Amino acid sequence: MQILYSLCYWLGNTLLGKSIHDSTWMFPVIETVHLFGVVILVGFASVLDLRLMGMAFKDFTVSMLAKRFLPWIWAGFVIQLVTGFLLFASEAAKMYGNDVFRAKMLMIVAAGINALVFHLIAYRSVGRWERDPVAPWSARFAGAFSILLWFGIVGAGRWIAYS
Amino acid sequence: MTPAYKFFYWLTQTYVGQQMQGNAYLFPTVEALHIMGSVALVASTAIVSLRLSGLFLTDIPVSKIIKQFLPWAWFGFGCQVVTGSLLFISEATQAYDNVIFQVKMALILVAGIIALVFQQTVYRRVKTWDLSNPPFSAKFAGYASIVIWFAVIVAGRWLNSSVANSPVLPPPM
Repeated sequence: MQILYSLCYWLGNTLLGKSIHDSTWMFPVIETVHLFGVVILVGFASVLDLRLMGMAFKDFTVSMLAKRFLPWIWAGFVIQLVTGFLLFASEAAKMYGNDVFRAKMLMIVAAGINALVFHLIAYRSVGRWERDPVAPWSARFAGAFSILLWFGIVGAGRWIAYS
Repeated sequence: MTPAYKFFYWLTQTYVGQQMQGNAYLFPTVEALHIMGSVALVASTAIVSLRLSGLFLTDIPVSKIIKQFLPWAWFGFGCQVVTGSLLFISEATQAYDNVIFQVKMALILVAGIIALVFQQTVYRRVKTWDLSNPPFSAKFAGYASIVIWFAVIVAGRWLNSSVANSPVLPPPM
């Protein structure tokens, strides 16, 4: 993956990457906004996941929660994408070979695929099952897998700093 | 040396304090759990606060939102007290005299007082405004809680840098 490494190396040496890397305050400030984003993204996504798993919020229908919480989840995701990219740019070449970073990226892709599959399959028939006390197993699985992945991503994020 | 400093030093020398300092995996693991707890605590309180401010889920009664999300806020708070205490015990002497640590604790206290006052006053009459535009004091409690809890996150992140850069103080005489 010589090309990927060259790309990371280039990114780390752009004005953007160098400025964040050389500044004493920029990295912690961006990291703080990344922490705000994680609360919004993972916190609001967990509400939907727990409802799908049947563990909480049974007074609310799945489609109501999805409709209300998804805009916040997307907003949180955009914050994470922007701040995460900036943090990555400041040490891109170092991150290229970091196993924890790679695991984090793979888990994010897996969480995205999980959400997409849920949306294209189980969620299509949500009107038929959203009032049932127990959601179909595919919806329960999607919720459990999603919450597990997101908290794994949070754990990996903290661990990158130590690896 | 003040009695408080002696106590803080004693904390760092306890079995838990020593384990937290000596085991390379323990501190980052507890830190990761502290971030996960902040997701549960701050997201649940943010959802309740956004409802109180009239910005989110406005067609659902306030009492229903509080009934559903408050237990999760308490669950998150419990996680934060346990993990936060573990982090504190391992670095208590460095937190001593640390302004950011004091500000963080003061902010948590203020958030608690706002929640308590809200619960004891305007929330007692919630039946009269459950589905209508929340009264000013409820909106204020909502906005203030959001700002304070996010400020607690800022202080927490900042505390991490300031403790890492502070010298390890000597044992009390």
